[in-house]
Amino acid sequence: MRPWAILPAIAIAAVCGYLLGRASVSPKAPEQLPVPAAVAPAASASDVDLTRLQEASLKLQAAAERLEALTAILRSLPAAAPSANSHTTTEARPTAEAEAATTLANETLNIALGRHVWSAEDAQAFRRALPDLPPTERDRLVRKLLTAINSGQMQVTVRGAPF
Amino acid sequence: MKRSMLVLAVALIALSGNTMAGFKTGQAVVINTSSRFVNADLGYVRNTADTTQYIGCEVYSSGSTPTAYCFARDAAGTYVACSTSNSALVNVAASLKSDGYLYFQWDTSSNCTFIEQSTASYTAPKGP
Repeated sequence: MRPWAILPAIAIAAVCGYLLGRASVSPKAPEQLPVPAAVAPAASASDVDLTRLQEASLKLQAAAERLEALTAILRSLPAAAPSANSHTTTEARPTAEAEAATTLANETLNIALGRHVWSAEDAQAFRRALPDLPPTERDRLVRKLLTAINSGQMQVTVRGAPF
Repeated sequence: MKRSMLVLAVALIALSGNTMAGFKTGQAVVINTSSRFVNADLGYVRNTADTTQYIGCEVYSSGSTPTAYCFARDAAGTYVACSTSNSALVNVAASLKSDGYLYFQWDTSSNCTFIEQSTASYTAPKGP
């Protein structure tokens, strides 16, 4: 037998070995990202690659369903109360006047709460700040003030409207 | 002469009786902090001898949603107030009449939950 006659057999064996090796690749680790179909090399469109793509597609679909479910849960939750110095994202960025009014109203109310008295001066300061307060902040502060008054935590010395 | 004086006196008495006729109410400010309501006749409260009690509502808007505040103080000095941006309640507060009757309720967060105002012949007009 001539030596060159076994070369095709060696080549065929190498190709088969390569394909068998690819087919026996262990499943993809969870942290590995799926190969997007658009960038997947055309040459790797073997049965194994198709299986991988199908798995990735199923994972993406499951993730989308989970995201949708979480969004629905978030929508069903009541809106969280804004913190003392923040505003909801739906509102425009506070102006300098709004920030000054927020500071004035908060300080006025906190000092009054500390001494348990709502005076005419407090009412006047609060009223002065009122027009420039962002609506959510105004509602929060008014509710805080009135609840303190109605629960008896604060004595009202101003006559007439609370502010 | 005596007879004409007698007729005049009877006529005056009869006339004064007519001016006093009609059903009248006189509701001072009554606050119930446990059930969270208050009511009063505005004119009657204005005319009381004490200088402590009062009741009323105020409607406020800074270009956005209007807000109503209702407040009251009774003769003992207890003060309560509530606020609302509910348009239906704001409308009732805005329609409050000078000599009308006012009743309002609030919740534990001091939101006005009910506002009633009425105008009727039996509520007292404000004096000076």
